[in-house]
Amino acid sequence: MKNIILFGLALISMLGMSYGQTDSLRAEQLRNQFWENRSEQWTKIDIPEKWKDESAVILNKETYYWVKKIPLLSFLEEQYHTHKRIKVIDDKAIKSYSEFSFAESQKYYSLFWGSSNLHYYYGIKVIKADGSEQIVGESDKIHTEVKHRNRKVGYQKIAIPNLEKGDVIDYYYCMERRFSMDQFYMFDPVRYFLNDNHPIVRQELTLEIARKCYLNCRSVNDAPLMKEIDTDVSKAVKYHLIDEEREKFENEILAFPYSELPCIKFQAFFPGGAFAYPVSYADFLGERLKMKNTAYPQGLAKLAKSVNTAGAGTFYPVLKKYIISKYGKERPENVEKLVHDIYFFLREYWCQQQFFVKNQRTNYYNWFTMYSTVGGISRILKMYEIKHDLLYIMPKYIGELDDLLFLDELNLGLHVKGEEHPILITKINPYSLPSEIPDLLSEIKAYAVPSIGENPVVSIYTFPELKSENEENIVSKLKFDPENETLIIESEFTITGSSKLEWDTLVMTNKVFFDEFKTDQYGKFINDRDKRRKPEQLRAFNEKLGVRFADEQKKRTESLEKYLQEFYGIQNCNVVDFKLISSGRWTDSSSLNFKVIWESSSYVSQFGERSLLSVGRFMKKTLGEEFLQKDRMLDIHFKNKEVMSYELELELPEGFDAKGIKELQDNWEDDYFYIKSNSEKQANKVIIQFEVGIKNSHLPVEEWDKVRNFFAKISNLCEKQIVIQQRQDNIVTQE
Amino acid sequence: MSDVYRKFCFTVLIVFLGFNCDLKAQVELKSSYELLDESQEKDALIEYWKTTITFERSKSGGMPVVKETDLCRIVPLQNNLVMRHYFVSSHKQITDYKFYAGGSGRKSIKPVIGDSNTPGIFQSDSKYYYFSRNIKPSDQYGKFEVKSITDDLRFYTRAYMSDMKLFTANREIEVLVPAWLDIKVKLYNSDHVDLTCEVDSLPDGDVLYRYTGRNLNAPFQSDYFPGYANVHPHLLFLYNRYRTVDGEWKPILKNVDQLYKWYKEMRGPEQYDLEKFKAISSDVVSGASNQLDSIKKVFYWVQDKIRYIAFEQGIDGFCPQNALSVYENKYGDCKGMSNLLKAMLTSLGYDARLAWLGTQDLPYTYKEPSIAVDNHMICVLYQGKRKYYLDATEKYLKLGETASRINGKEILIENGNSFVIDTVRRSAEDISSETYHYQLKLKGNNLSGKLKFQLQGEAKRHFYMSLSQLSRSEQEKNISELMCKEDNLLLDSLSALPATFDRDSNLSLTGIMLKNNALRQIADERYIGIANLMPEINFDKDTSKSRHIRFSQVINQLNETTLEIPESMELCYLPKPLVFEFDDAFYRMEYLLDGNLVKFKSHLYIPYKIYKQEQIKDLAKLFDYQHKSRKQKIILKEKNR
Repeated sequence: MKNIILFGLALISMLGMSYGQTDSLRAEQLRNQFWENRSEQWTKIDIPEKWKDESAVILNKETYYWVKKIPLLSFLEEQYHTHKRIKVIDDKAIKSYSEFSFAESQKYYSLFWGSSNLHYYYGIKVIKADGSEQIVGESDKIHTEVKHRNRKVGYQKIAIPNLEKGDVIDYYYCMERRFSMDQFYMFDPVRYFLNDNHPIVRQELTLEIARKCYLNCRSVNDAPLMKEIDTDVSKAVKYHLIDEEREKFENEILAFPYSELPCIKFQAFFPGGAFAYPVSYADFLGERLKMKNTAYPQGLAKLAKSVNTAGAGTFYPVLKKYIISKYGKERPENVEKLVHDIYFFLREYWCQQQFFVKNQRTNYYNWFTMYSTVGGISRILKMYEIKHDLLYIMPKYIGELDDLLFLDELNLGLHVKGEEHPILITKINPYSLPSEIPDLLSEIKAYAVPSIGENPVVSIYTFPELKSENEENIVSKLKFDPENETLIIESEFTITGSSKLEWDTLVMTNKVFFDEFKTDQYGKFINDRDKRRKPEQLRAFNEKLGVRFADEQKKRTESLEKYLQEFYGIQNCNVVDFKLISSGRWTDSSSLNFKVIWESSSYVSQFGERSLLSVGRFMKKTLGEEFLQKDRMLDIHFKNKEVMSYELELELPEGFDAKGIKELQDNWEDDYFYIKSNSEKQANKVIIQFEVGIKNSHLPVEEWDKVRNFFAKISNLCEKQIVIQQRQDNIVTQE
Repeated sequence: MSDVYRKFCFTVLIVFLGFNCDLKAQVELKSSYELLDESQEKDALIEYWKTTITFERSKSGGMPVVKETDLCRIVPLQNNLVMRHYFVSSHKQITDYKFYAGGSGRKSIKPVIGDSNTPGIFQSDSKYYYFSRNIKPSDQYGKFEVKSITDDLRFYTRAYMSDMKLFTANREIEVLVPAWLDIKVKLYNSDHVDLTCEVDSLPDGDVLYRYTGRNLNAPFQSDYFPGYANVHPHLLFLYNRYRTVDGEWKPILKNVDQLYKWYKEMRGPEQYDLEKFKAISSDVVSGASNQLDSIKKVFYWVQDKIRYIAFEQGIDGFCPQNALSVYENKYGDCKGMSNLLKAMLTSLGYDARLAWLGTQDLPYTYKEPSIAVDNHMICVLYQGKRKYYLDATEKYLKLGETASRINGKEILIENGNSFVIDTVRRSAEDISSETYHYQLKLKGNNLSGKLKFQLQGEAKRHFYMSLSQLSRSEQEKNISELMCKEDNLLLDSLSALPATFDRDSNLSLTGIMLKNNALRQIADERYIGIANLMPEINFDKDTSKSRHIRFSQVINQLNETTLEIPESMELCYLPKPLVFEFDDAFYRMEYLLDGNLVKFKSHLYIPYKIYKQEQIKDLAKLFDYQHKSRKQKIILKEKNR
């Protein structure tokens, strides 16, 4: 017994972690490497004249990436070094670079798995205008940490002393880790963008892949190619790039920077030792022993097989029971109906779990994922031997399919050849419909893996051109209250297509999912595991649910008020009543339809006997000048092709008349957009209609002026007003 | 029969009671939720919270220690998660913590412990303990029992009645003061709150103070929140003296003398190398034409060259950094900057002194000798008959100007071995204002004309501070955006920004304003608005949820606009004057016709003060009037030819 205790103590003493310990010899080595005997590039302090008004300029930047398998031992090493030399020009830059924060090194010990460590090294120095150098020392650092149980994360915070305008800050930051691994291993993918938030005079990127490690690498969006240098295949292969005079990039709206900015994508991997077990995604990386590679689409075939296990032990047995109870064991005739049925079942399954005291053996991180959805549908389709493809889709905002390199760039989808049209599943959330395909997928290419067959061949699937069904239709009945200078508005919103998502998150509460649950259809399969056993638990749970529903309703009113203010660009809005007519969550009523009664004084300005009514403000507010004035680098991408129509029906108070109706009539159109406005007077009513259309959601950057023009037109229309006044007009002038 | 009847009645009674209890529990949760108004967090509430404070003599013979037991019952209203934060410092440690889940009894809990990461504070000795745990729905509440000890009672200054985050239904604070300790407990901000205080003298000479409160709201965090101490009910502990085991009474912080003595102790001996500083300062003041000029040069140099980085490490932030290291590092906090200013000015032969004060975030005066009274340090310069309050943490501050956040506050100024208590007073010429002058003409339907934009005082300072966060190229864009908040408004030919932001003169910028399609034709009339060109100060709905607000500076916005009526047109209508005033705040506007010129004037003025809930409605109304007036239009008509 004593021996067992001693062994236990010995074991415990060999397990554990230590923090904040850096290898001082290595730190010294790195310091010398970065700061001693450096080339001319690291001594420059002048910036090109064209960048003199910038906040800061990166004079030189070097990034070095290195991976290696340690000889004889089952260890991998990874290093990522960044070294920058930045000229600090103004107060903004002083503030940005006055404090730094770096993670602290960590070391893990384990008797059986050896030790692994993650080291961070850094150094900062300030170079004054006279060339003198001041190295930031220990006294400028402080240690902060957060710990929970036996886990701890530490940071070093550094205040940079004596930093002034015109100084150059020279710093390096290195991450080096070593860990035990003899299986196939993919290192984290790295996206190295050539643009930074400051202009760059010169930058270098070096990738060194040593001993038994391999690399996938791709230069995209006109980024220069990595050149192979100093290669000794037995030891290491080195790739290198020098880039000069790169402008800064500032965030742009309506843009997909990831798919357009020049970038070097790379990912290293280790193919595993002799006894490595196969992993499903390994083939995606291409030939394992080829030094430099790009993604290998055929490798997706093996990966696609992993969806066979989706939902095992969780939702799949219930789903299967439900489908068999409904369709039997024979293949159903209507495949589309079957696919949609599975989809709705899964959506409801995940929607309802939160209303159960004890959920159905499922974890929330599996809810509403495409892996679970596609996996579930695919397994049922296989059961009925229905051919279908798993789709690996590269969304437009990531880039073209030809630029694919990383697995995380792909979204999963499913395609079944339908009789009239393809059956496609591309997204799932609590509000989504199986038939809705985001506009972003229109005509894009995806890899298709047939799900049936021993050795499926990966092919290219092209999404059909999606006709715009995105509509935002708002019909508002306006009642003018001259006494309180307020408009009372009853608006009915009908939203179809992809535009729904924006409104769904705003108006939908959990109560809707709770109320819309089809107990007759799903109640036998989707239910609370705890209901019958612990009634007290259930009662307490339901009580909280009641409070939660009530609170969500209040929050919806608040959010709606804020959203409507933002949407219309008005100062105040008071929502009096909300009524959901149709959630648009079911195929038979796929539009989101709701009514809001609200009031606002922002539309009315009263003076004398006249009241000006800002009818143009019933259109969605345009982008602000701060966005439109900026020049841009990237193409313009709207979320969807869209039609937004606004109809106003103004009821005039007894004895009042409206002027300025004719001035509202206007039509305009170009290749990408159109605006229509119409108005008429009927007895004591004024009817006004505005319609704004985005015909093409993707425009090249050269067309930015057209976008500006379009928004200027809307802005002009937004300012349109009509006058309401009593029929016998008495013009008031100041005495 | 009667036995059966009794059994029947008993069963009915049990069933009834069971049902009733069940019903009652439901009503309690719902009614608890109903107690929370729109400003309150609705995920949970504190159903009961009791803090017991006791004092013990220190074993080491130093200052007495404070032991606190905190018992807090939290009812999650919508989910099953209960959370609680506790803060400790180098003087306060948590000694024990326990967690109980409703009826299920004690459960294990492990907090996340981390160094406080307060925005704006680089280093502090404060740590947080964050506890969180899920309970069963039937458990109804989670109870935390946390014990802590403060090793020196001078650092235990306050106890808050209300929680910072959650609504508190029932609150109790018990302070057991032993006979050997002489303290005063002062209650702050108890108006409009359901609070009671009982004092029991116990037989052994101890005194028990019991404060109870009901339905206490947590603060609503808005941009204009004036600070917890100003508005939330709390106890301030004032420690006079204590008796040692030997029977000797020893002072703690009985009066300001002792407070000052303690501050001096914290500061340590003055160690300025005046020769070194003389060399530094002489360089800074080179070219100064007179004494005032050299004082300015030093003051402005410290503002410009020393970055504000707050250090609250060690002795709760009462120990200033060494002046030389602040000079060498070019960073420091209020204490470090004041120390440097004193060193530099003293080396030049001026009478510069350190001074302690509490900003407007604190409601206390030196009638309450406690370290809670002060949270700031500045340097006070005596020059002739005048005193200058030199606060280098305020950027772009002109010599002689005073920031609103310290104006009107008592200040403790060193005076040899003694001290002086004074009040910071703004000079009469220290006025903050922003003025917009527009001279407009109509060209077709477009409105254009000159803009002159002037800033002075604190408004100018805040403007410079916001611009300094931008690169030079962004600054101009930012001004254009600021001036053109209204749709279709453009600013052109903006005069060049000064190369350096000059403190001693007012900022004056000019430009050309252009608003396309400003003149709108409706039937035979032409409508034009000229009141909405200058930027609008908004008062959003969230702000009106607050119980107390204070703007970050005095709002003093003036607009003078003239519009030349084209010869082909005549005036039909001018909006009527509008005035709304309450307390010292007002909004006034008027239109006048002078020949062919329409003159519009408006003035919005809101002083720097705390507005309470009942005044916030008036404040909202004031902004509403301003908004309405901005929407007003002038009506013109083509002249009949």
